[in-house]
Amino acid sequence: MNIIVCVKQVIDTEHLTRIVGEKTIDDPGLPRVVNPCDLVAVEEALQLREGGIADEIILVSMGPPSAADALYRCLAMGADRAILLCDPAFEGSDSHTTAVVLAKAISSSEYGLILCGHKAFDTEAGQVGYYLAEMLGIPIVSGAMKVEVPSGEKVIVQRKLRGGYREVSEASLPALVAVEEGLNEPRYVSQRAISRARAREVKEYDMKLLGLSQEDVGQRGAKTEVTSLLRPRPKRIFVPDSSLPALERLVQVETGGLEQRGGSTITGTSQEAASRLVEILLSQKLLRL
Amino acid sequence: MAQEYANMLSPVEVGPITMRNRIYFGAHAARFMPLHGGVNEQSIAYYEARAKGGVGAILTGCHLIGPVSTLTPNPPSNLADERTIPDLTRCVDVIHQYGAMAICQLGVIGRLFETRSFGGVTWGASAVQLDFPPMTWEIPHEMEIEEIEQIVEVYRKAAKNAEAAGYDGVEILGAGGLLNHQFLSPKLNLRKDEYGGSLENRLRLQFECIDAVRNGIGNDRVLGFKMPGDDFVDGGITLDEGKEIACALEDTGKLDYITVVGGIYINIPTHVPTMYFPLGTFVYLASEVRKAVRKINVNCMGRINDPAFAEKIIAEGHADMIGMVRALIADPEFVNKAREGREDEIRRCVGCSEACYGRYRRGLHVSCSYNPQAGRELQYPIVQAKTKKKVMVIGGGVAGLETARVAALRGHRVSLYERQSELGGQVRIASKATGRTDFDEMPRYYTYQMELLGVDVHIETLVTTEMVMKVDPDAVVVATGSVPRELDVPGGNRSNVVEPRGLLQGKVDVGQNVLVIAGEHNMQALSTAETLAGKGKKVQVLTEAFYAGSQAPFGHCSNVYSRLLRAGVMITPLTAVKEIRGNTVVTRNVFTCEAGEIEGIDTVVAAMGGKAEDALYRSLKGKVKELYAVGDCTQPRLIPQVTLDGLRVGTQL
Repeated sequence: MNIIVCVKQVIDTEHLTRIVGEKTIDDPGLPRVVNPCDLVAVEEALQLREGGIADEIILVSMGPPSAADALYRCLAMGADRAILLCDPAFEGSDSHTTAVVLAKAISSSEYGLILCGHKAFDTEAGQVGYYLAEMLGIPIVSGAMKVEVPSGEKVIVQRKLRGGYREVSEASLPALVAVEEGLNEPRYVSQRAISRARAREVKEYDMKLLGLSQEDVGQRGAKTEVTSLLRPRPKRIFVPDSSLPALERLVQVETGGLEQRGGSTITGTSQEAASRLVEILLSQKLLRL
Repeated sequence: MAQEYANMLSPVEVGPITMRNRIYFGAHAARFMPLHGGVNEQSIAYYEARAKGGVGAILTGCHLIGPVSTLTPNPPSNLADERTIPDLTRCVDVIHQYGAMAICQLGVIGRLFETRSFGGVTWGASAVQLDFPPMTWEIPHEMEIEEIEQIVEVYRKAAKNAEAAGYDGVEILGAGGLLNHQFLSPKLNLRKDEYGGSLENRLRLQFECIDAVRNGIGNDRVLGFKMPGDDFVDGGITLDEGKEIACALEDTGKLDYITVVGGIYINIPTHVPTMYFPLGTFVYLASEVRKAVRKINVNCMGRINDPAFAEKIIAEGHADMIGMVRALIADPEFVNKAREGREDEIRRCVGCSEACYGRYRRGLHVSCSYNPQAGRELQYPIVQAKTKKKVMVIGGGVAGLETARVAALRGHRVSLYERQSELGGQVRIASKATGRTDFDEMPRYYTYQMELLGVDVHIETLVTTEMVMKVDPDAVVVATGSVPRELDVPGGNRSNVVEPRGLLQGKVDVGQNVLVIAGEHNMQALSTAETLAGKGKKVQVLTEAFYAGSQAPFGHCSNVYSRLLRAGVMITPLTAVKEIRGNTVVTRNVFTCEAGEIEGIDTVVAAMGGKAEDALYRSLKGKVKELYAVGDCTQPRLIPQVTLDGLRVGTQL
């Protein structure tokens, strides 16, 4: 069974300073790293191979030519092959167009499992995995904190829930698993190993080779548009007003200061719930088809 | 895995010492009744288990000091007494042996002392009344200046003794409603002298105590102060003043940390927040105080039971350290399990406060509802069994589960049989009531333990005598629980009379106008009433007792009363139900015998408690090699008693 790992090169958000008034945080002056979650995905693939479950580990990344650096690092960790999807037309991609390009590249390959980080540390949209699985017609399990492949047939995943809880999900292969940080500790790679990896081939594909057109990719194919970026608001927790009577303060602490609000719960299978949700979003004009 | 809790597990500098991580076992009166108010063998074993479990520090105490401070009738109960030093030294050595720091909490009980129990006089800042029924408190003697001086001197002596015993530091208990808090609070301190009135004056005793303790321990030990962030008492300390207090405390330059808590002992629901409160109930107080002070370490406490949540508190900068009490009573190995990525094995505190705080209020040592070994470390050690037996546990409620867990830990081959499709018995049902969902943590914990320990679990299996004979085990443990007790009055078997277990499981229909009979005196009737009120039913509660829920822990009772009354539920005490006649309930006052009728009741919910289901046990008597009965099938009781059955039999097998 081959494992495909999707890798993204991201800016090191620790150095992020400019935000206000910009429409992208992709500052060319900032240092670049492999998305931390993706390193976890690569590590997981390597461990599955060490466990005798995987044969070949193939890295796929979409990005500018400099994104090859991210692939070299992952090759140094022990992956077998790397593919870079690189074309000026891909610039300005959103989650959807990124997935279009990735899906095109992956669809012709043979694979049992696709691993990716559950979200990239730059914009944290966390959407590509879902689009990609949908386009490839395979199941996706996100938030993975433990991945087991007991046979060539299925994958068993412990998913991260709130409050330290875990949900165990099973999916038939081929499947896509989006992993959380903390699933494993990505192995250390020395600078020497990275230098050696630079001698290896990273196969590049552009729009033409993939058989895509301008309309499908980049900004033109995008379904979303960034209108503005804001600094995150500082974390706030509810603090009742000291001038309120003691009992009132206590009740507010008990309820989190929230008024009981109306609302409805959507029940049914995932499929039914999803269609109902789309209906609601459409009727509220929050979504356009 | 460690990176998942990187912040929580990171070391922290606290004045002159470094704690290995940010979780500590908060001080609390565990009531093991040490002779001189120090420690005894049992308390050392209790602290040892938690130090071994990986916490950064153990805060022993609260060691009550002062001439009228006692929790035992054996005088003198006083850490200022040098006779406590040898025991304390042993305790500190044991804590250090596992790499944890040892900090000694000192406090003066003041007006919380009960002369009814122990004689003597109770001291307070002022002779003011402050009651929160059903808890009532004595009005204390207003302390004279000489008595205040005496208290400060006692702090100095006790601190010296703590230093001599090898403690890494001392914490002054300035919260929780004890004497220092009583002087801080404008509600309890109405003094006209230099110790009362302005905040400066109310802080005077605190500063004197801080000076005395610093003088007693020197500069190379930690000194902490636990302070209130909000009393939740009108006219008491609010967060605004709490911030001022914290800044003033920091400005003394003598403290290494401040712990901010909410509430006051006099007002129980705030002192130990129950499962009705959100996790980390009072984190916001510490968070706000931490923003107000310059750089001193600020700690938080109160209903923090989960490593992921604790990590968030530290990562988001709400506090520097987290004090846990109930979470670590429930699971001494909390920190190690989190570090090793075994979070699923953590026995999370559900906030039921039944065996910890509830037992404490009854004058007993603390334990835990589903960790009955807590506080009984010496009495019930879990050791490998000499002969490994084939053990058959019948019943998957918490009594059976605890027995199976302990027996399996000891190396027995255990199989467990449950009639329903899920484990957890009545606890699972209780978790269906409004505000009680945290109870589902117990079945979760046990179900996972069964899997880990390789217990052979058979669900949806009704066990008969013949089946037991066929399995032919070395020992049989019957844990078949109880069935609801019927309402034994004319009309009590009518179709509009239902019982809470079926109701909470959604198995019975309930009309619009509901009357709940609180025939049991814990939480079942009240929580069922709240569940129904939440569904828009018109609900009233009747009880023969002085009040419904009279045996429930005070905190829970206050929470649920506040919620029921706000939801418009009427609760009538001292009223017996004599007959159900169609939609009419015939009542009688228990004292005057005056008869009454309540009309238009669609459904009567009879919460009468349980009746032992012991048929299988009786039929197995004399037929198997070893036979035990645990849990409700011997006598319907509360969770702590039945899990203790499990531990007792599990260690005895």
